[in-house]
Amino acid sequence: MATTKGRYLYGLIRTKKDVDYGAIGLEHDGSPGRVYTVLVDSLGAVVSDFSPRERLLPLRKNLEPHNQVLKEVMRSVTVVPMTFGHVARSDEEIRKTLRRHSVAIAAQLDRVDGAVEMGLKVKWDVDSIYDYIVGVDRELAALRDQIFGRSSAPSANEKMELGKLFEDRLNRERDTQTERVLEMFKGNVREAKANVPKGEKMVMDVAFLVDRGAQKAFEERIYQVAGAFPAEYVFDYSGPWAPFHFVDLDLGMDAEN
Amino acid sequence: MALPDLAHRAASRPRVPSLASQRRVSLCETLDRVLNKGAVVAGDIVISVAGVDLLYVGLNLVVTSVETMRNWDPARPQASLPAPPPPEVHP
Repeated sequence: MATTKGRYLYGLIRTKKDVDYGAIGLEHDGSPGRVYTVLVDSLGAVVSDFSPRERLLPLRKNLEPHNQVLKEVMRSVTVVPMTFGHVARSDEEIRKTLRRHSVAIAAQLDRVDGAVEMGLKVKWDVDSIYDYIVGVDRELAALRDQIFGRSSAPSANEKMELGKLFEDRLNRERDTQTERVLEMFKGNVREAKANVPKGEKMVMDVAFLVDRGAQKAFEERIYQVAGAFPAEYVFDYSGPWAPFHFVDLDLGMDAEN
Repeated sequence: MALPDLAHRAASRPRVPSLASQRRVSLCETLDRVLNKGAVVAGDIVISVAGVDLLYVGLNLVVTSVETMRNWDPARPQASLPAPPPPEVHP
């Protein structure tokens, strides 16, 4: 039977004894890898066997187990999730890395201790985002009327000016609404992180760090907050996730300073 | 274990999307997180594939991705090199 010393890394936990999570890991040698821990002091790396020579592509069949393993680990302990794609060449390499960064790892474990990540995306459910923003901004509407309301065709410069103002107002509207939403969640979350919205109709893309015990209250709060917004705002939440957005950890050679 | 609370969500208010769209959303969300966020090992090279930052770094741990294999340069010292012991310097 082929064996490898290579280990795929899912995340880091606090543990004093070995944990076996079963065969739920990335495929290795034709079957799902057994997920277990590599210990050093009171830290554990959650791993499964994986050859560093094996191709590892960011495909769904690889990405899903990464996430599912973290979900399973999170059921019992706090985990600092690794980004997809880390393969160590040996247990010793993992131990060395954990030892070298034990202080930083502990700090991150403390930061997310007992918490889960919840995602919230808010979108404008409108046919035309342009019409919508023109509808909420008088200055933009006035400029549009001025430029397009004449018999002569608007110049390229005028169109650019209008385009710039549109983008400015679109982003301003996003910022305003994001601030408002973050304010409304203040009492329910430990931390919040807003990502840059992708797509023109996206208002905000926020990750929240929520105490495990406060998860239900948080979900109820989503409905309250959504209820405070007009009908064209669609609230879409996801989770619980491992606290991907709330770890700031680089286990590289020079990162210990 | 997967996708908890879906039934609860699907049964809730109209402004929450359907079960099927929740599933799709969940996949995107997984991608966003698993590829972009989390702890990393020394990001000295960051490569962006379709707006997704992927990391490739040598020395201690190996990070593989579509793009890194495409850009694979056998002449360059890469992750297959054994890691030199780190200097144990503590300020």
